[in-house]
Amino acid sequence: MTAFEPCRVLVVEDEFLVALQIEDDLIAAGYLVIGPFTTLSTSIAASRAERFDVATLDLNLRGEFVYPLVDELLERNVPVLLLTGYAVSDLPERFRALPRLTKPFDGTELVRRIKGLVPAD
Amino acid sequence: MCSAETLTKQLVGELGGLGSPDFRAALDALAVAVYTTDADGYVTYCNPAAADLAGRQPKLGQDRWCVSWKLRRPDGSPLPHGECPLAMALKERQPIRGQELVAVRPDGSTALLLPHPTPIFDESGELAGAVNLLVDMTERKSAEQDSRYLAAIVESSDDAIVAKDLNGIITSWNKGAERLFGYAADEVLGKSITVLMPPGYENEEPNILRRIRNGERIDHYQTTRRRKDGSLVDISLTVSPVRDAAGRVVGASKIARDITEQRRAAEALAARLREQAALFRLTERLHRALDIAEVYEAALDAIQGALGCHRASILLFDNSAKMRFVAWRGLSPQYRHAVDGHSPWTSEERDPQPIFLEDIAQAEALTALRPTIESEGIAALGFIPLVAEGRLIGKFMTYYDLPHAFTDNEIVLALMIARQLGFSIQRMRVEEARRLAEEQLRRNEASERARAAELMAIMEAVPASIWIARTPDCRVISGNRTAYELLRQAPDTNLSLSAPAGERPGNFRVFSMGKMLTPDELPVQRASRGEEVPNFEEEVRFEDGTSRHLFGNATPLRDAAGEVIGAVAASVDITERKQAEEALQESERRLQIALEAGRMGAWEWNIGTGEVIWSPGLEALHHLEPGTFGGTFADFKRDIHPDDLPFVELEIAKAVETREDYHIVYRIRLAGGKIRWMEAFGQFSPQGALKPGKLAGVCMDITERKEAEWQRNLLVAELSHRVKNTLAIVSSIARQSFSVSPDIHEAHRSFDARIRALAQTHTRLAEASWSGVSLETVLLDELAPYHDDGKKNVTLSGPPTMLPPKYALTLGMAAHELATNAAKHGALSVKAGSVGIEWSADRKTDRLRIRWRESGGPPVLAPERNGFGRLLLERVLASDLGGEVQLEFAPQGLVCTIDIPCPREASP
Repeated sequence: MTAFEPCRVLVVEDEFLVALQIEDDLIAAGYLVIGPFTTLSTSIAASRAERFDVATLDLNLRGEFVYPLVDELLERNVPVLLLTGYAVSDLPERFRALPRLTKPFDGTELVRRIKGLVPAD
Repeated sequence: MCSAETLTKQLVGELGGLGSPDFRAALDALAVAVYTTDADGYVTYCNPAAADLAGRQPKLGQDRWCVSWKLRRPDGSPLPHGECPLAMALKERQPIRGQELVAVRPDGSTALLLPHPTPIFDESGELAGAVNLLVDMTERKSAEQDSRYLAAIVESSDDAIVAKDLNGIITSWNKGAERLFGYAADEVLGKSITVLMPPGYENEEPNILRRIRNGERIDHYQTTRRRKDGSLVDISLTVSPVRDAAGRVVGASKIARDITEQRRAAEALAARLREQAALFRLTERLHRALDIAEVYEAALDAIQGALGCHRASILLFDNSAKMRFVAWRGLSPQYRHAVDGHSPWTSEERDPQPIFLEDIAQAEALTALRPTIESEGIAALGFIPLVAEGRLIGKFMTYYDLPHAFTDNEIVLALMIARQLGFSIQRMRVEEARRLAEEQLRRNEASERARAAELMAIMEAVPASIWIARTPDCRVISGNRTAYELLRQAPDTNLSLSAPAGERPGNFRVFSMGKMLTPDELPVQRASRGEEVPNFEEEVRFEDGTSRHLFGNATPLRDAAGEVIGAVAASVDITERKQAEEALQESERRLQIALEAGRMGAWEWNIGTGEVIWSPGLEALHHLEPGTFGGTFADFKRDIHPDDLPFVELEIAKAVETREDYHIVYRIRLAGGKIRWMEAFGQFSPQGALKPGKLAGVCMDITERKEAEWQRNLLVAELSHRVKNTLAIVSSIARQSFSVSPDIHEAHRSFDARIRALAQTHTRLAEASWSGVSLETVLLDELAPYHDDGKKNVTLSGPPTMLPPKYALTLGMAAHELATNAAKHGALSVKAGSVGIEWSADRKTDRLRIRWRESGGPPVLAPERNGFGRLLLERVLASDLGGEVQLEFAPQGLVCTIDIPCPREASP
C-alpha cells in the first residue's frame, strides 16, 4: 500500500440503503469501496477476484450467513469487521472474538474501526 | 126302645102322612137312619142319621136304591146298588130281612149295615115306594169277632196258655202248651200243675197259688219246667188271677214261653258285650297309650280277654324284615328263641289272611316246629296278621292249651284287634317319628334362633353395608348399622329408592360408571327380580357433593319353593381404596406420560462389575430393540458423540470420585448418523465397605428442547437483526432525505412520509406474520391517499402476486416515491390525471413486470437532478431485488417499468 493508493474496503451488505451509507462514509474518509455485494456467492467471487485490505461483512445476506466467507478471509489473514444486528451470543463461538459493529452504526465509528484494523503505515 | 122291625112297621103305617111337616120333623129327629124311595127306587127322603151313616148327602130323585156311595157284601165283594136288599124288596114286593152289607163312605171308611127295606103300597094296593131303615151293625159285629179271635189266638199261640184252679188243677191246655211241655190236653186236664215241676222247684207252685189267691199277678217270672220227656225247659211265666162274675178269684191263667233260645241269645249277647267291652277297653287304652309297651299290654289283655286264649304274643318285622317277639304272655324263653323269626308271611306279603291251627297234633304245616310247640304245651294256634297302611308289619299269636275250634266270631274279633293293634303300632311309630322330628325341629329351631341371633349380631357388627328387601318390589329396604351410617340415615328408616315419594331417602343418588342409576337398576332391585348381581361397583353421591364408592354382591332371597321373595346385598366401602387406586393410577399415568413425553429412560452402572443396565425406555431412546443393549460401559460409550465423549468420561469419573450427583448434557450418534441431545442425571449409591457401589439415574432425550431453544434463539436473533437492519435503513433514508433536499421542511415531510410508508409495509408484514403481502396491497397502501371520490384516478390490474418481506419493503418504498412524485408533479397533481398500474408474470423468463403509467397530468419534464426517489428506483431496486427499472419521461406522463425476478413463495 502506498500513500497514493487508497485503502481498499470490500463491502458486503444486502440492504442497499445501508450499503449506500457505508459507501458514502468510507469514500468520504478516503477509502476505496469494493462493492457493495449483496449475496454470499457474489461476495465470495468478488473476494477472490478483487484486491482489498479489509472487509466489512453483513452477517445475514438474504437468509444466507456469511460465515464461509469469514472463514476464508480469516484464513487469508484479511481483517474483517462484522456488521450485524445479531447479539454476540447468536454468533458461532469462533467468530465471537472478531471485531464487530452493531447496526445501526455511526459513520465515524465505522471509519474509526476500519482505521483500527488497517493501520496507516 | 123299639126294635127296628116295629119301627119300620110304624113308619110304613104312618107313611100316608109322610108329607106332613110333623111327621118329617119326627123322622129328621130320629137317631135311626131312615130313607124312602118311590116305586122305581129313587130316593125321595133321607133323614140326617141316614146321611151321617152314609157319610154323604144323597141326591133326592137321583140316587137310586140306596143312599150309600158304594156297597159291598160282607165277604168284601162289590154289591151293585140294583142288587141291594131295597131293590130286591121293591122287585119282590115284600120286605127283605137279615141281609147284611157293608156301606163304603166317600172317605173310604166302612159301616156294617143291616138294612130293613119294606115296600109301601097305597090304599089301592099299588106299590107306592119303599122305606129302608138302616141298623149300624159295626159295634155289635166286632164284639162277636173279638171272642172268636181270642179263642183262635189262644189256640194258635206259640206260648203255652194254661188255666188252673186255685188248687193247681189244670182246667185248660192249649196247643202251645202241648208243644212246649209235650203233654196232650187230655193227658193233663184235671191233673195238678206240679207234674211240670222239676226237682228243686216244688216250692214254686204254692207260692204262685198264694199270690194268685191274693189277686196278685206274676209277670215274666223266669223258671224251669220239666217236659213230658223229662228234659228241662227254661220258661218265662206270666200268671194272672181268673175271677168269676162276682169278682172272686176262682183260678189262674198261666202263659209260659220257652226262653231257652232267648237265654242262649242273652248269654251270647253277654259274651258279645264282654268282647265289645274288651275291644272298647283296648280302644280306650290304645288311645291313651303313651308308649309302645302300653300298646302291647293293652293288646295282650284284649287278645286274652276277647279270644279266651291261654297265652298270646305279638311279633313285628325288624329292620331286616325278620319277625321278632316284641311282647308275650306265658311263653318260655326256649320257645320264643326256637320260633323267633318264623313267619308264615314275608314282609312283602300282600293281603295276608289269618291262619288257625285248631289242633297241632293234626296240623300238617308244622313238621319242624311241632315238637317245640307241643313241648310248650300248645295245642292250638292262631296267626293273625298285623297290617298298617296296607303293609304287613307283624302278627299276633293266640295259643290254646287244648284243641280249639275258632268260631267266625273269634276270627272277626281277632281281625278287629289286629286292625286296632296294627293301627296303634303304626300310630306309635308315627308318633315316635313325629316326636323325634319335633325334637329335631326344636333343636333346629333353637340352633336356628341362635344362628339368627348370631347372624344378626354379625350383620350389625360387620363393617360392610347390608341391605335387605323382604318383598320382590323392594318398596322397603332395611339395612344394618353400617348401611344406615353409610347412607347417613337414622336406623330403621326406609333405604329404598323404589319407595314411594316421601318415604324414600332423598339425600343421595347412585351412580355407576358415571351414569346415574334408576331404582330398577340398583343391585338389590335387580336381585329381587331373580338376578345374581356379583361384584357390582357403584358410587353413592350425597347432596353435599361428597361420594362413597361401594363394591359388593346382591343375591335373591328365595322361599322353600324357590320363589323369589326379596333380595339381600352386601357391600364394602372402597372409597379410600378407589381414591388410592386412582391416585396411583394417576401417578403411574403421569409418570408414564412424563417418561414418554420427556423421552426418558433409566440406567444403572455397577461400578464393581462394570455391568450397565438400561431400561427399555432408554434402549428406545438409543433406537435399540428392547433387550438388545450390550450391558457394558463400552456399549454405553459407543453411541456418545466423539466430540462429547471426553467430557462425559471426565464427568463420570468426577461423580464416582466425589460421590456427588451427576448431571450432564451430551450428544449421541445413532446408527443412522442422527444426532440426539441427551441429558443425564445420576446419583451414587454406596454398596458397602468393600463394594464400589453403583451409579444410577435417568437419562432423557432433550433434542427437541435443544432444537426449540435453538429455534427460539434464532428467532430472537432474527428479530434483533431485522429491527437493527430496519433502523440502519431508516438511518440511511434520513441521510438521503436530508442531504439531497435544500428545503429542511420539505426534507422533514419527505422523511416522515417515507418512514410512515416503511412502517405501513412493516405493519402489513407483521399482520401476516412476516409471511408476505400482496403486490396489490402494497400499491394501494401508497396510492389510496390520492384517490379521487370515484377512485377512478387509480387503476390496478394484474394477477394476484404475493411478495416476500424484502420485495414488499423495497417495492413499497419504490411505490411511495412514485406516488408522492405523481401527486406533487405528475398525473395525481391534477383532477383529470390518472395512474394505471399493470403487472404480469412471465413464466418463461421468470420475471415480474410492473408498469406504472401516468396520464392526464401536466406536461412532463425530465428532472434536473437525481433525487432520493430516483436513487431508490434505479439503484436500490436493482441491487436489492436484482431488477431493472426504466423511467420514461413521456409527454403524456411518466412511465416506469420495473422488471424483477419473480418472487419465490414467501418463506420465513
